[in-house]
Amino acid sequence: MTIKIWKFFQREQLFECYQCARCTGSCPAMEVAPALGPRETILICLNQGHDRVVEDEKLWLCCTCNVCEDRCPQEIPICDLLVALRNSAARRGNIPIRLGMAIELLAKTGRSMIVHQLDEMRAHHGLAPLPPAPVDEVRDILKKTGLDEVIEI
Amino acid sequence: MRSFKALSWDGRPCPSSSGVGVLARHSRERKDKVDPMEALLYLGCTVPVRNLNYESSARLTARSLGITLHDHEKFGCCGFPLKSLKAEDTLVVAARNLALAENEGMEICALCNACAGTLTETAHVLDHHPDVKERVNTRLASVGLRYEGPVRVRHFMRLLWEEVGVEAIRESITRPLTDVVLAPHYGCHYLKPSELTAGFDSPDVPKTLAELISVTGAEAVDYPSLKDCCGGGVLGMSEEVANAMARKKLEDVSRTRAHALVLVCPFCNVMYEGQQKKIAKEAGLDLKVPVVYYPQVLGLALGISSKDLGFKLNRVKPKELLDIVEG
Repeated sequence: MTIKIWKFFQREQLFECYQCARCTGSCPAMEVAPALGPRETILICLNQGHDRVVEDEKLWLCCTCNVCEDRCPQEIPICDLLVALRNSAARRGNIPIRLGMAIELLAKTGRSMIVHQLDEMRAHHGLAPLPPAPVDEVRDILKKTGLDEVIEI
Repeated sequence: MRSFKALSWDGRPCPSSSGVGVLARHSRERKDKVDPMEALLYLGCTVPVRNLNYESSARLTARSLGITLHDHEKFGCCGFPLKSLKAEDTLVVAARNLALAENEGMEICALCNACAGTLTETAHVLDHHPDVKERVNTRLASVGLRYEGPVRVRHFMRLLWEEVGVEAIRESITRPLTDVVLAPHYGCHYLKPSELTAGFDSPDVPKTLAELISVTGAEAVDYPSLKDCCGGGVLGMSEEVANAMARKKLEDVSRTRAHALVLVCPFCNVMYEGQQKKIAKEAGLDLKVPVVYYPQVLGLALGISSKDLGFKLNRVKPKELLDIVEG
């Protein structure tokens, strides 16, 4: 299923980009890995269409640190673009395995991590037990928003 | 001191004020504080499970400085992990917590950078886009909640900075951390997007954490990778990339005189403390950088014992730091 990412992000804003690469130069993931890079992502979206980005697993090598958007001299909401692209990728099944597992855990337990013998541990450190996670409410909300169309929850 | 409440407090008690067992021992009445500071403590997923030292030290230092933190037994996930999959789900899951806080008439105080960032951003979006707010509220109706707003959300550090203030903290210090050297790490969502943190701190020249370290009597050191991202955001996608990102800062800090790296976010902790051994092994480095939470440091300066501040749970023992402070 193709999702029109431009429904969530105005494509016209990309025309403001003059490819100065301040974003990519600031990107901490680019420093250590062959990530896609915000400048390159914008260029591909403009010249080849966003499908090319959405199908690329390198799209996920973003630590959501917001530095690209914060330093953009043209004030392009780059983080919104990257989120819209990843949302679109998820719809097409391009989801890192570990991220999918964390979300499944969240939907099933109301927490994004496994909790084991926690009450004893907390008591040992003078802390009261945690109330149960609102798993039913969170699952209801997730189903209502259609997340179950993206992954099985 | 101005009142910090975003909404009028109608006097209804919170559903729960659990989790404060250890606090009573450190209750210290501060008569000079006119307005009582109250907030709902938002623990998030990670802190109350993996970082009990952060939770107890935050509770103890808040109590010591006159901030009353209430627990809310219905708080759930902040929505951060969902953002990459379906951004609108993040808004709804986050708004659920905002609506609960609104019902109590109190602001939210978060310990995690990601929780604070996500809840702040959601409140900002809902308060500025009535159409999005209506869409979110339609979905929240299924669990009997509604968000009108505004509800204020602040990181624990921002409460310390803006409500208690450096001067009041200085007056409360009973055991100055003289001769202690610490390296601050802010974390990305503490400083950015600057649209949300404007007036608090600067993403380019951050200072709040360094100044809050200095007020304890310790020295805050600067180092080349001060503003680097921990890499926690990509840990779920590539451990190799995440470790490579965290490594630089650990190496930098190990070359300074710092006795510990000071954090304010459990995700940064996963990288710098949790992954440190693995990073060192993979890179063939001898890294032993103690990692502590800011409230643990503040707590020491307020005279609270390292035992109560949960230093036993710090994986790389800040032995030198504790030797200087407690002898």
